[in-house]
Amino acid sequence: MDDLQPPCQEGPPRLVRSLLGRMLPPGQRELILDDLNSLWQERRAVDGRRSADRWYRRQALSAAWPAIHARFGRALNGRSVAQDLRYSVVQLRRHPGVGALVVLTLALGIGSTASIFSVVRGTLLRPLPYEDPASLVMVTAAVEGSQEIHFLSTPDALGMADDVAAVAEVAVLGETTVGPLTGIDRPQHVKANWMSWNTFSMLGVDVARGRSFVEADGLGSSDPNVPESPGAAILSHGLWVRAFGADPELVGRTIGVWGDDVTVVGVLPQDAAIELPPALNVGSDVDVWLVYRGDLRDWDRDADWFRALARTTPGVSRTALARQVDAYAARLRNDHPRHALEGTRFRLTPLDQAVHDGIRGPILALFAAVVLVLLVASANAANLLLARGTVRSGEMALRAALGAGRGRLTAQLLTESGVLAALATILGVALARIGVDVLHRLRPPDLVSFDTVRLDPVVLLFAVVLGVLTTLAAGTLPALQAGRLADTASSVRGRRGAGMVPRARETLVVLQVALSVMLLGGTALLVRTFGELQAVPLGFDPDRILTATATQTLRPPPERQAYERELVRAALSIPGVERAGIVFPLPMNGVYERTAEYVPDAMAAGSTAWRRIYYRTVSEEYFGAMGLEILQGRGFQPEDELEGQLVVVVDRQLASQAFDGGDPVGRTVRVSGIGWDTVRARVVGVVEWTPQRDHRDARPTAYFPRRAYLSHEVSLVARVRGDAGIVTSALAEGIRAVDRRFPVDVTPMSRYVGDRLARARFVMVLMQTFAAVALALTAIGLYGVLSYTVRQRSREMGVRRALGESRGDLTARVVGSGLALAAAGVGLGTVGALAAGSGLRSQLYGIEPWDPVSAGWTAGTVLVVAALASLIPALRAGCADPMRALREE
Amino acid sequence: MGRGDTPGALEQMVLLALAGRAGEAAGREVYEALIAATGHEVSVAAIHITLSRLEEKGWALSRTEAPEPGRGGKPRRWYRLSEEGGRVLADLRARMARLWEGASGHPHLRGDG
Repeated sequence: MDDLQPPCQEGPPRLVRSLLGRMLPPGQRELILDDLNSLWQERRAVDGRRSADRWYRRQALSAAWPAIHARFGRALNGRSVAQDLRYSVVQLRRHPGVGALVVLTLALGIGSTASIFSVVRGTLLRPLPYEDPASLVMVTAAVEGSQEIHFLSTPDALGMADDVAAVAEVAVLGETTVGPLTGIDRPQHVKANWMSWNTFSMLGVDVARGRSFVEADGLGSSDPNVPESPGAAILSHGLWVRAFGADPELVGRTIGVWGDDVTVVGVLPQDAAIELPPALNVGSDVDVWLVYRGDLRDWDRDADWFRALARTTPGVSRTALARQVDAYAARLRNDHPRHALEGTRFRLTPLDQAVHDGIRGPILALFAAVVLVLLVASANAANLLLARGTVRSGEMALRAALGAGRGRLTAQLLTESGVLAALATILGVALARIGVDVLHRLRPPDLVSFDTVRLDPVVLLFAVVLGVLTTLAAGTLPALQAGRLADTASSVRGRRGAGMVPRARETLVVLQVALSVMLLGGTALLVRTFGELQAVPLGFDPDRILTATATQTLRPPPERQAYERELVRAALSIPGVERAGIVFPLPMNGVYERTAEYVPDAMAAGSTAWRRIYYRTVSEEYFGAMGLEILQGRGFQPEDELEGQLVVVVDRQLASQAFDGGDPVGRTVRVSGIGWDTVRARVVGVVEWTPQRDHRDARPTAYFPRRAYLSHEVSLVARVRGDAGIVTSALAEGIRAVDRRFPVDVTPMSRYVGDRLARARFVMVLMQTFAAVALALTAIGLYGVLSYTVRQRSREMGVRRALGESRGDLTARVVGSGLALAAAGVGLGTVGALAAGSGLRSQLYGIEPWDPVSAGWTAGTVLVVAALASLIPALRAGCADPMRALREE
Repeated sequence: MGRGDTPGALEQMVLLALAGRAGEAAGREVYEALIAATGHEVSVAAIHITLSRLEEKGWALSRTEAPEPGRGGKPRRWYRLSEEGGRVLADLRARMARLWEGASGHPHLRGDG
């Protein structure tokens, strides 16, 4: 076709021309294109290129209809479908307001539902990025009388692969640690994670460069006198880029991690996401993977902090697996006194279920919310279409009178719905695109697998199906109504023929109100929960506290306390720092937590009533630096760090739980889990409670002097005067100066505290948005119904005016009927909201699903919005002209 | 109402344009005639498609002209009114005339006079 013109001669817009060529019926194509082409040339010569192009585009547009008709008109059985289509377009152009509202309403519903569906699909529905993920399980231990998740020792875990036929392979991992990366120009902290050499191969995780771990990487030195050769390390793609500038020569080089030399053997692919259950506390953002070396089956059976994953043997049923694992646990209880004492059992959780634990609730809640929005939108669209149908009832009746059958009219209206569906779907997909971008921007830092959330073909298909279904659903009522009209074709003015309409529209509005109440009620619960979480007394003021985290692996424990004292001194020398103290682990920073178990000393030895607590080791300045109030007794003193009986400060929670209400000061507790042995410690004081993991965490904490556990990581907390931001860099420099070999991270406490609320905030903000959309749509629906009623009853209103009712009476009458509809919806919706609230239970904090404040607030808001939506039609009713009404009578 | 008995609006206009040309017209000529008569832009594609439909209905006849060098060797199709087409137009005109007769007394129409 392009040889129409000499090669260098300009032609009409190419894209338009080629689209047009595709569209035109064969046989005419060339003729038409030729004519258009020569006309374009003439126009260009006279009016210039732009005008010619514009003309050409208009011609192409106007060719669309005849072309489609000529090519497909017959196949679609004819003129009727084609006519319907054309007529639909004409109708939409004639009543653009209603059509636009319907399209916008549905598009909002489709767009928001598709965006949240993309989250569901990207997280819950997406198979884990492992080989045959269905046969992977997380193995945890359950101890009698404890609700906690317990981890395993390496012999118990790996023995399962040897002794249980249904388990093909077991891999173990440690907790993610934050340690120094050295041997490079700029030392920094990295997240490092040890694991058994087979972890990646069992999961089916591949490297992008170098090699994966092999069995030889896990072999330890057989002779304890020979220093071990460097271990093997695999780096994340992120660290490879960040710390090594994506050096292609890195594989094979030796770097320092945690003070050990390790050889980089591989680098993970950029999109590798090692997603593991949050319960394991193994970060998805691990920078360096390291291998445990030695005979893991021979490690200490009391060292029960290893996270175990297993691959089951193909073809084994779940019950058989559980039975065999139970038998294995029974053998262990038989062979090992500790397991007998603890009544050890093992729990196998499908890995995908374990990975999504914690996000399933919020995501499903959001999806449910968005489905409610979609339903409200559909009801609204149906309502608008019904309204338009009423306006057009005269036209429909006329067509019916001229011989159009019921089916014909219904088909016409359904075709119109189809056109609306197409438009709404297109706009909805566009909105979903924006929505997914917004979701990515709002994502909380701890939603791991969010990178895979996007608009893929399945989500698009979902949106299209939604678009078609909702529009058809919304279009069916008006179509049925038109069909009915055709049956009663006598009523040419279409007033009485539309008898079912008001009831249908009122029902729809009540439904909309009810759905909005459900959504709003759920949102209110989340807002209240968020308020409760924010109001949780942390025991300290996060805005005034800076934290600095350093590592001291390379120092022998005796030197560590000296270093810590240096840190405190350096911090105090900085203007603006009032107090400073040392702690491990830092509360609420989302990395470490340390737990131990205690029994009050009064109880019998060997009791199984050990209860789990957090513990922290702190310097004597810590409580003062944090501003934690000493409620009873005293805090720590320098002497507590010396030899002698260990002392402990318990927090308010522990004080109230462990000592039967008695005064804890002077009592002794036995604590196991700090070091190897059970320790006895004398309580010297009670301090205000502070949460460890997040705001919901109510577990008590026991504080010990640093000497009880000189951790390799250590955090300094500094209380500052005034603006913490100004002090940050000075503090970072001052602390770095103490020992330049190691990196120091300075972070305001307020950031950690904020991050712990990020997920709740994310869900809450989305719910608020959805609730606002639903409420707005409902207001539109209510407004529409009342306007319609007022118009229908204008004569009645006029007569009432003539009979002496005041303007105010009429206005109140209409507002009253609006409120009556709303009240019916609120009643219905409150019942639904209760159900929705129970579904949200796991998301709530500090309130019950039937929280009366939320319910009252919801009902109040909806009624106020309903009153406002009723006001304009009501005022219009008040203006009814009595003279005109009388004349018409 | 059987199909093809009464020409649609565009069909009427194209038939009339063909009739106005006495001899033959290609799509291009019809397009220009319609613009000249109505003052509105019309769709070239719609005209071509209408012409071929008129031929299908037997209201127009066509022949394909041998290639001429100026058009890059592309053929052109020329149309003229068929006898049947003439009859349809005459018929339509008579019907319209009767309607007009009845309508011309209306005050709104007289004003235009």
